[in-house]
This record gives sequence, C-alpha cells and structure tokens, in this order.
Amino acid sequence: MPKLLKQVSSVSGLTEQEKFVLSLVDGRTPVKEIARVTGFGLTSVNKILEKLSSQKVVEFQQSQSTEKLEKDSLGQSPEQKQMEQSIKDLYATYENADPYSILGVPESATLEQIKEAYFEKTKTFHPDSFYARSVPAGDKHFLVDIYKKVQQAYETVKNKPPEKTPESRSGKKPGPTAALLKEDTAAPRPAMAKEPVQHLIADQIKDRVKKATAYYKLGMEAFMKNDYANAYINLKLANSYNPYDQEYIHKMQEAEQHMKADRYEDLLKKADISRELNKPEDAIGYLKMALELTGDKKHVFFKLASILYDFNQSVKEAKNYCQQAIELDPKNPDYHLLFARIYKKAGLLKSALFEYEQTFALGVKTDDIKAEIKKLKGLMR
Amino acid sequence: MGKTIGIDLGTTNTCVAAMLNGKPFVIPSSTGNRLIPSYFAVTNDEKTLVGVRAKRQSITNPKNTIFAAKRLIGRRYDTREVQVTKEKVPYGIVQGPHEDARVMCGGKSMSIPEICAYILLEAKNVAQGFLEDEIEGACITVPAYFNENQRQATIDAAEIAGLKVLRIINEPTASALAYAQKRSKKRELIAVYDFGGGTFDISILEFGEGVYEVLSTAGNTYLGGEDIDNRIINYILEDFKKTHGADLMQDVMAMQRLKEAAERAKIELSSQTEATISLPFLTETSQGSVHYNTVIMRSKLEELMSDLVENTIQICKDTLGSAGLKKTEIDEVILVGGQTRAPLVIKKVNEFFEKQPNRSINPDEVVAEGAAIHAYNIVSPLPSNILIDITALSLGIQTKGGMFAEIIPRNTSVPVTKTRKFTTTYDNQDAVRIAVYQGNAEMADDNELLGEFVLSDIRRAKKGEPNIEVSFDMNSEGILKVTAKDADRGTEQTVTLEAASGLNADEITAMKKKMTALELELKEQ
Repeated sequence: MPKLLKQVSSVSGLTEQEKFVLSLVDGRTPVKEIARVTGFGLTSVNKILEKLSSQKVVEFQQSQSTEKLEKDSLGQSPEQKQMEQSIKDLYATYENADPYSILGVPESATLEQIKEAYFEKTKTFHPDSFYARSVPAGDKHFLVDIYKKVQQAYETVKNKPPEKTPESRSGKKPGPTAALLKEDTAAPRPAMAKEPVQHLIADQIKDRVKKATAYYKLGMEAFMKNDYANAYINLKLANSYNPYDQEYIHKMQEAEQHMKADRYEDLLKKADISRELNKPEDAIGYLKMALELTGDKKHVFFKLASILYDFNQSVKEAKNYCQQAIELDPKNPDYHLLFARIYKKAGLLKSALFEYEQTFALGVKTDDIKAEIKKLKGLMR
Repeated sequence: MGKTIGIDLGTTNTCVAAMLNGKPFVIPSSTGNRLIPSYFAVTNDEKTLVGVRAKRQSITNPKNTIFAAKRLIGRRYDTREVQVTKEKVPYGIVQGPHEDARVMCGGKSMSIPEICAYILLEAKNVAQGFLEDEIEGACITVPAYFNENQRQATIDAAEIAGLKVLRIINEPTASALAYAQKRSKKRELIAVYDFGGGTFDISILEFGEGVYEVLSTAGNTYLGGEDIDNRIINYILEDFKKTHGADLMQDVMAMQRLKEAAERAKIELSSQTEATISLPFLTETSQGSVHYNTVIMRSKLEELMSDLVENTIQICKDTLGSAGLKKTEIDEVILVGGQTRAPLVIKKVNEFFEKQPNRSINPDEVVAEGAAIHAYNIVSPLPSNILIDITALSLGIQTKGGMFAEIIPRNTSVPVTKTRKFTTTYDNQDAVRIAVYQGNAEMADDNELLGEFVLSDIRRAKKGEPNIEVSFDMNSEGILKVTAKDADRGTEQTVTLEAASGLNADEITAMKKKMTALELELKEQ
C-alpha cells in the first residue's frame, strides 16, 4: 500500500493516516475494506473513524467523496471498455441498496442534507448530464436506471423525516451507509461480507489515483504548450479525482489565470476586428465580456468609449466609460482627449474646453489641440 | 460544430434566441424585429408568407391568414377547444384524415404542424442568417400543460422544418432558467407566473447549486391575453349594436380590424388610463358607411378582465397547496408573458404573494432565452446546470366504470418508471384492453386518449384473481413506453406509444421534402 499513500499530500491538521482513511470514506465502503486498502488494520481504522466522527469530519465527507467515486466511473476515460465495465458495476451497487445508501446519507440526515445529496446525484446521473458525453449507448440505459433509483430513493426518503417514523425503517436491512456509521463506535460486524460493493472499492481507488496522475500529466503537457484552456480542464479533472494533492490545485489555479488572460487578449483582438469590420455592436459585446475578466480595465473602458464615440452610439454611455477610464488612470492624455471630443459632441463646450486643456497640460501640445482650445475659447465668448 | 438555439413558439409571437459568448441573446430578424408574429398566409397569387409579412396583410386576406395555430396543434377535430377556436377565427377549420384538426388556407387543407413548420423555419433562417452558422439543434418550448400529442405535433413541426429538436421544455421552466442566470442566492424557491397570449401557467421551482428542480406546475390552457381581447371585442360589439343597430359578427374584415384594435387598446391601457379606438369605415349598412369611435377607460378594462385574473390567482393558490408550500416561503415571483404588463395583474400578484413581483426580465423574450440556455447546456460536455423537469399531467389507464387510474401522477420528476397492479373484472376473462390516457380529470374520457392495446392470453380465473402489472416508463424526452404483463404467466406486451400528432411518418417526410425545396427556391431568389 505505500504506493497509494504517496499520492496523498499534507493538508490541514490531519495526519497522513487519517487523511488516507478519510479519503476512502464515501458512505459506501465498509470499514473492513478501508482497512484492507489502507493496510492499517481494522483496529486503527476504527480508531481513526471514531476520532473523525467526533470531530464531525466523517459525516461531512460522505456525500462528497461518494460523488468523486461515481464521477470517476463515468468520467471521460479514453478506455471505453473499462468505463463500460465500471458503469455496469456501479449500477450493481445501486440495484439492491436501500434509499439512504443510494443517496449516500445517514438515516439521521435532515431534509436539507437529503436534498443536497439528491442534487449532487442528479448532477452525475441525470440524462442531460451525459447527453453530449461519449457514453456508449448501451450504458446510458444503466445511468438512466441509476437515476431512476436515485429519484425513487429521494421520493421515499424525503417524505420520512427521521424523528417521525423510526420504527418503519428499523426492520430494513441496513445499507452500507448505516453500517459505516455504526462502525464508528462499534466493532465491525461480520455481515459486512455480504455487501455487494466491496470487491470494487480497492480497484476504484487505484483507478482514481491512476486517472488523476494521467490527467495531471495531460494537463501539464498542455500547460507547457501554453494551451491553458486544455491544461485547466485536465488539471481540474485531476483535482476532482484526487483532491488531496496541493500541486494539482496550484497548477489548476495558475492555468485558470493564464486561460483568463488568453481569453482577455482574444476578446480584445476580436473587438478590434469587429470594429474594423464596422460591427460596433459585436465589438462592444466583446469588450463588455473582457470587462468581466480581470485585466487591464481602463484600457477596455477607453476602447468602449472610443467605439461608442466613433460609431455615433450613445454619448451618455461613451461619457460614462471614458470617465471610468480616467478615474483609473487620470494621467493618460489619450483618455482626456477622447473625453474632450465626447463632451464637444454632447454640446458641453465648457467641459470640452477643460478636457482639451488637460490634454494639453499632460503633454500633447499639437497644433490641433491648440486650435481646438482657441476655437472653443472663441465660442465661449 | 453548429450552433444551438432556443425557440419560443408562441400563440401570437415566436421568438428565437441563442447563446452568444455565454449569454442568451434574442436574435433580431434582418428587419430588426425581435419577435416573429406566428402568422402564416397564402396570397391570392399563391405566394406563402410568414411572420410580419403575413400579419401585415391579415386584414385584407383574413380567410387565408392563419394565426393562433398553437391552439390547434396536436388536437383532434372533435374536441371542444377546436370547436371553440373555430367560432373565433376567420379562417376555416376542417377535419383531417387522422381525425386531426386542419386549416383551410389558399383553397387547400393544411395540417397544423406544417403551418408551425413554416414559422419554425422562419425562426431557423433568422438565426442562421444572424449567426452565420448551421443550426445544430433547438430547444423548443411548449406550455407546461401540453399533452403528449401536442408535444409530438410540435416535434413533427420541427422535423418538417429540418430542425433537430434537442428537447421540448415547458415555458415556465424556460423562464426560470433565464432568470437563474441573474440570480445571486445559493438556494431559492421561485414562482413563475406566466400569463401569455393563449395560456396561463404557474410553476414552482427550487434552485440549488447546479441543479434546478421543478416542484409543481399547474395552469389553464384556455386562459390567456386573447380572452381579454375577446372581452373587449364583445363589449364593443354590444356597444355597436346599441349605437348603430348592426351586428358586426358577420363582417369578417370588420371583425379582423376590431380584433387588432382591441389588442392595441389593451396594450395601451397598460401604460395609460384611457385608450381611443377609432375605426373609420368599419362596416356598411343600409344607411351607408359606419365609422366607429370610442374611448375605453382602464377601469372598464379591469372590470372586464377581473374574473380572469382572479382565476389565475386561484390556480396559484391551488399549486402552492399541492406543493405543500406557504406563499411566504417563495423567495421570488417572476412575471412572464405579455399579459403580465397589465397593472391589474401586477397588483393582484403582489397582493397574493405579498411581495413585489420581479419584472426585471423582458416577458416577451425570457422564454426563448431560457430555451437557448437549455439547448446550449444540453450539448455541452459538462453542463453547468441540470434541470429536473416534471410531468404536468397525470398518466394512467382506464379502469372499470370508465374511471381513470393514475400510474404516473402529475408533478412526477422524469425520467421515471412506475408500475401498478390491475386485475380482471369478470370470471374467465382472458384479455384486457389497456387504454392510456393523459390528464388530470377523474374520468378517463375527460382526459386525452394517447393510445390503446390489448393484452391477451391471460390465465383464466375468477374475476379479481389474475395479476396484471402495467408499467409506464417515461424518458427525459417525454416518450412513453407502456408494458402490460400477466404476472402469473409471464405474458408480456410492450408498446411504445407514438403520440398522435395528426401526421404519419410518410406525410412528415413528404412535407419535409416540400419545405426543403421551398427553401432552396427562396435561396435562389
């Protein structure tokens, strides 16, 4: 098992062991299985779970990491065959499970938690979520069936608040979730062996780590080629498979920033082209989108104002944008010059004169400006 | 990859939108109109006209100008709705070869999906021209209360127009999706009050992160802005009778002018307290031409429409009740549909929900925007939001005494599979008829018959002994599969119900060919 351990890096206040155990808690994996995968032994795993549950960490982790495992199985793996296998297996784990373990919530869950879990499952299994994905046609039907199970479970569970009908569930075979929660404080039960899921778990975890590494590699390759959008997607996938590696997160964030910067450049370029093609509306649209990305805002404001001015669009808006540009950089003569022209167009000659003078004062002492100032002064009298 | 679009195929207007750089955008036609009137016409020289051009000549060519085709789509000729519509419209409605309602236009009978296809084609062309790209697929909206037949007819219309339907979604749901783009809170309960030209819908949705769940929906398919127009028309007709002693009902052209004037007055009264109706040379009597002039006050209009608005509020009340919600739990009320511009509607909604309704979105365009968002979302490999939609009408079969036995109740999330057990009604019965109905009425016959089949070879036994399992499977595209099974013998009969749109596959193919030819012709011109 040391190989698996290596993939888990240090986060927050937990020890390596605790983190590893925690990463396997998904509301589905029996304690025995965790012990087998981690190689820590049943007693220590139980101790760790006890500690984690007293800190309320176990319950919190549950629905989250279940999700990871499932995403795992229907992620865009290139090996279709492998995926096919895992979807079928996944369906097997849902087929006979009780409502609570299908949703991955404890029986004590509140309505709010149940809904949260239902929404999470919906994101993974609703037909719309894989409409455009390359899931083999034969497998879509398994996914739809899983979703139907999820819905059924939700319908059953949501109308049964735990405090009202405790007896109605007591006769039911406890699912993996319920079992796991009991294990937190008690010794493992031999009934565990009957759970249909356990032989899958270890493979799934190995697979998950393997996938994370593979996506990380792909992501870094793209990163090196400056293809940040692809890098970001792959690193995000790596992170979703293995959320415990800080390196993935750092690189993902870095790629995201680069991606945004690329997009910003791209938008400005598109805006310029649209402008040349006499499509001011398009250009304005692109620039407005650029505004939403972090970047050189004043520059975008200026461009917006100049397009609005050049194409005789709303003077009021042009004025607004130009003003914002000047607020961000009061010492740029270009901004003031544009502002002066906008004012002139709006018929506000006094303000226009003031802006021309500003431009002049900032160092643009051309004859044109001088002439404008003179002309305006003449008009003012 | 081509672009995806969203189309709001409305009773009076059609609107098309697409996602542009991550935001929904209503696509204007080449003449700058953001709404395409849902009009189709054949002129005297056999030219077909769609949209604005069809509407413009509706006064001079009332018999060959089709509007409000949405009221007829997917309906059988002998239904009440068709008969009521027949009374109201100047064009002829006849029975088609599959018991469907068809319209007379240009001396020929035309199926409703074909009419709608012309409008959809116009929408598609507008989008294609603007986006300068092929249209890969579309999300088309329908009222939540459309039954399977009406949905199927809409899909057929798209098929004829050469448009791939990604999904048919409910109008109120689409509006909510558009609103969702602008919201800020993490978890919200939304009520969508949709009062359009032909229908009224109310839907309650819950928004979570990345998931939107429709909780409940209800409405009235025969309650819309046009009913208010008709109230005004009736008011004027009576007034006209009193002052001029003549009945305008027989004068088709006068009625058409009156209809337009009534709608215009109604719209005017949303922003002003009085509207003038002036119709010179409205009709001819023995005394010569009659000019009609009158002023309608807003208070008069509100008096005429108040019971209709009350009706919508009652539906809101019932819907909240069936969803088990209190009106104070609703975080936001969204107004959709042109009729919600009326001050009386805003006032009543405000009074009922005890909060100012949200009017920040354009009621005419929001549905198309939502459809565009959904279309875009579906084809993206990692959709940002998943929509859990529901069936607004119960699905079930007819049982003893003509009762309707629900199998999939209304407001059930789809996709879904539900099974219910039935048995025989007399001794040694060896076959049962499974008649599948859709609707919310108690008696099967009051609901829409979707189809029927017979399960034979049942184990002969005393009545009530055999176990017949009927299971309904509805996928997220709304296609229903019905399986009946004799549980004792294992005899099984599965039928994928093809909703009756009023057209068969051959007819659709033929119409599609015709449409493609027409399109090529237009391109060459």
